Amino acid sequence: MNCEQVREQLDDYLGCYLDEADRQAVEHHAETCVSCRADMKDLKNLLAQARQLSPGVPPAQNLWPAILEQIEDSPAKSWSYANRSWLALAAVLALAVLLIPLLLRQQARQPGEQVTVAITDSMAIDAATQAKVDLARSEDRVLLVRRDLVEAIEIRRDLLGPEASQSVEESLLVLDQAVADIQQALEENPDDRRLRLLLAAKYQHEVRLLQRVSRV
Amino acid sequence: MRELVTSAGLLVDFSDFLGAVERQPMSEADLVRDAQRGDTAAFEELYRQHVARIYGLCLRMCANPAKAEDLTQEAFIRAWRKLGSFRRQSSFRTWLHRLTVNLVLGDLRSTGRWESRLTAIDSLPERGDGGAGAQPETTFDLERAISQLPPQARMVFVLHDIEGYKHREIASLCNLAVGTSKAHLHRARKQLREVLKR
Ligand SMILES: [Zn+2]
Repeated sequence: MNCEQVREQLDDYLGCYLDEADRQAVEHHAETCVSCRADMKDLKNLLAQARQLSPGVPPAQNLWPAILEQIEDSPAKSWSYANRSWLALAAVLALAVLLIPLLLRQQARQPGEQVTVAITDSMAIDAATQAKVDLARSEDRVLLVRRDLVEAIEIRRDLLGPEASQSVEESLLVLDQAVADIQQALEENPDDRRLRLLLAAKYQHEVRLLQRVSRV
Repeated sequence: MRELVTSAGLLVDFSDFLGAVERQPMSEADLVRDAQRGDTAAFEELYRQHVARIYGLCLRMCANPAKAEDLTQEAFIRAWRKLGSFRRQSSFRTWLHRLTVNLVLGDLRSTGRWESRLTAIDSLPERGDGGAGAQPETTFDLERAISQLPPQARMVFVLHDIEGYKHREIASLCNLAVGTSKAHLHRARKQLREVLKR
């Protein structure tokens, strides 16, 4: 390659567009030609400076309010989905707290019992929850849920700030009270098998929800 | 519906708790998914994460801060409206960039500035204005020199040498031949080197 050819190739050389043979030819020429080597160095300098430019430049004013005004008028797709996972998380936390002590009690009473449960209560639970509930294996899962639950709350405690943390704790207190109420009801009606199985099935359903929500 | 009837028949109000949970940091994929479902709060977070990149791109491409703000705003509004067509195989950043480049190009073409030699040298922060805008002199000079390039050369330089696009992508985005994109880049680099040597 001569000087003119090299200068024509210099942009492509620095942009890594050349094939191996051409690349070597450019480099070989630059090694022996002071003028082309200076040209290459000059261009490399410019590209290094360009790379130092921050690609981000914050606008002088906050553009979000004007954007929000425009997009709020746009037809939004199924808004109800947006909060569903959080509602599910709340449901999981509530039911896990509610059911852990209960299930531990049931597990102690009836180890290894296999049952099939049909869910008919008012909460929208799909047909897939007509599942076999293995109470003997439930203790492990209960412990897992408890661990996840505690971790979820602990992680959130730092991120939430004192006010929200207090709100979570208050919700849990309400739920603890609910657990106590149910335990008392079961002690008074220990043979209420339907209630027990319904709760067990619901618990299983909520474990799946928790697993899903914790990946969110 | 932010209340939950527990099995014990207790009505628990979760609104504070849910509000708190919603302020959790989320991954970009989660934010995009929620925004696709109509969640403007998720979209606001995406805006915050990407606005500087998008505004920087608009500013350098059109060399006019007021115009760049309008275009940035328009880019996010369009992104919201087109979110349904975003496929999660590509990154949101790449998708948003392409959308913005198309928008700026369309604007430059429609206002006839694409072919013109219009330049704006008042478009960048004053030298030594302190704070976050403070830049080394060479960086400032380069920004200023870029803003003085002819629009097409400026566009190709910004996309290729700052944003890292390849000629083939620029050619397809700007509806140019690859050779033309290369010619613009050569011209831009040549002019910048001359200006910076002064
Ligand atoms: Zn030479």
